[in-house]
Amino acid sequence: MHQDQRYITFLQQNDARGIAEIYRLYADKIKRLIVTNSGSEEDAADIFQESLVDIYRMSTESDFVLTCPFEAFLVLVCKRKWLNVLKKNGRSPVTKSFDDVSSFKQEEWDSAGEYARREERETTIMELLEQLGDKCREIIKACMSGDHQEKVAESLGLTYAYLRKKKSECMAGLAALARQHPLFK
Amino acid sequence: MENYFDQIQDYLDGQLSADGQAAFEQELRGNAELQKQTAIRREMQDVIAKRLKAEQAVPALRSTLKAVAAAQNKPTTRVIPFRRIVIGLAAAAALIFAVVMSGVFSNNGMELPAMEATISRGVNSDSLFNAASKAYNDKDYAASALLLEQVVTADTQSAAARYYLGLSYVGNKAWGPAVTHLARISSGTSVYAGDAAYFAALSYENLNEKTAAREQALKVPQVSPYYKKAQKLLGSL
Repeated sequence: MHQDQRYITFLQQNDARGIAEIYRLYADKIKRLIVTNSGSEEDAADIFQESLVDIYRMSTESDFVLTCPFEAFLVLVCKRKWLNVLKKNGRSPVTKSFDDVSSFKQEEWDSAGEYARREERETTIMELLEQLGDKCREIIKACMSGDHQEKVAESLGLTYAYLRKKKSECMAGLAALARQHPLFK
Repeated sequence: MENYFDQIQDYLDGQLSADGQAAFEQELRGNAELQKQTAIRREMQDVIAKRLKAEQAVPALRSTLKAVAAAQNKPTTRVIPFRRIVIGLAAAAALIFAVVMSGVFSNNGMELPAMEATISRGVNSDSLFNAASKAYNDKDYAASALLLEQVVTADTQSAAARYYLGLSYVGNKAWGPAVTHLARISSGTSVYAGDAAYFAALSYENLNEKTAAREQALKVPQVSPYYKKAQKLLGSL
C-alpha cells in the first residue's frame, strides 16, 4: 500500500480537513496544467473536482488499495478528462505534456496508468449505461440495487420471469455497446 | 445447438441448472470469445453495482469539495487572514446552499441538536465559531466542518467545537471523522460527553462496528436527552 492511500481515505470518509489538504497540495498544479493547455481556471476547477469524485467512486470497493503516488493517478485522470472535453468541443489538442510537471519514476507512472485505465473503463461503462433506453436503464439499475430479484420485479410491476428475460436482453444490449467501444475491443 | 452467449446472464446470476452450468463451463473452457464476453458482462455488472452504491455519498462529497474549493480560492493576506477565511467560507456556504436545500444531508430521522454561538475564546476563533454555528444550524454541514476544523486546530481543548465538529461530520454522513472527534469527547469529562457518546454510537453503527457502537451507547447517562434512544440502539445492536 502506498503512503498516499490516506488521500483515498479522505475522499472515502468525506473528511473536510483531509480534502482541504488535497486541494492545497494539488489544485494549483492541475490548474496550471489545464490553463497552459487551452483551458480556463473554471475548467480546471471543474476537472479537478470531477476527477476527485471519480477517484472516490472507483475506490469504494472494499479491497481498493493504492500502490502508486496519488498525484500521478490524479494527474492522469485529470488529463484524460481534459482531453475528452477538448475533443468534445473540437478545441485544439493538448500540446504541453501533463506528465512533465511531476518527477515520478517510470514505474510509478506505469502503475498510475493502470489505475487511470481502470477508472476510465468504469466511467465508460456508466456512460454506456446512460445510452440505453429508459426501460433498460431502469431494469439494470433496479437489478443491481442489491435487493432480491423477486422484490425488484414486484416493485417494477413485472413478473419475475419477465424481469429475468429483460435483464438478460438489456445486459446483452449494454455488452453490444461495449463491443463497439475501443476500450473493450 | 446451444447458444451459450444467450446464457451468460443466467450463468452469472447462478440461474442455470446444475447440468446447464456444467455444460456452460465446459464450453467456456474452450471458447475464447465466450470467455471474453462473460468477463466483460461480469465486469459491467460489478462496476454498475459498485457505482450505484457509491452514488449515494456523492452529493455530500461534492458539497465538501465545493466548500473546500471556495475556501482555497479566497485571497490570502497576512493582515486579516481570519476575516477573509470567514468571508470565503460564507461564500462557500452560499454556494452550496442550494445543494443543502435539496435534502442531501437528511439523516433518516437522526436529528442533530442545534448549535449555540459562543463568545469566549478570542475574536478570530469566535468569528469562526459563530460562522460555523450559522452554517451548522442551516444544515450546511460541509461548511461548518471546515470552519470547526480551524477552530479545533487553534484550540485543541475546545470540547464544544470538537463536539459540533463531530456532529457536522454526522450531518455529512462522514462516519470515520465523526467517530474520531465524538469518541474523543465521550471519553472526556465535558458536558458534551454523554451526548457525544450517543452520536459516536450511531456513527460506529453506520461503520458496522457494532462492538464499538455498543460501548459508546452504554456510556450515555440517564440524564442525557439521548438516553432512551441509546437504549433503543443497544437493543438493535
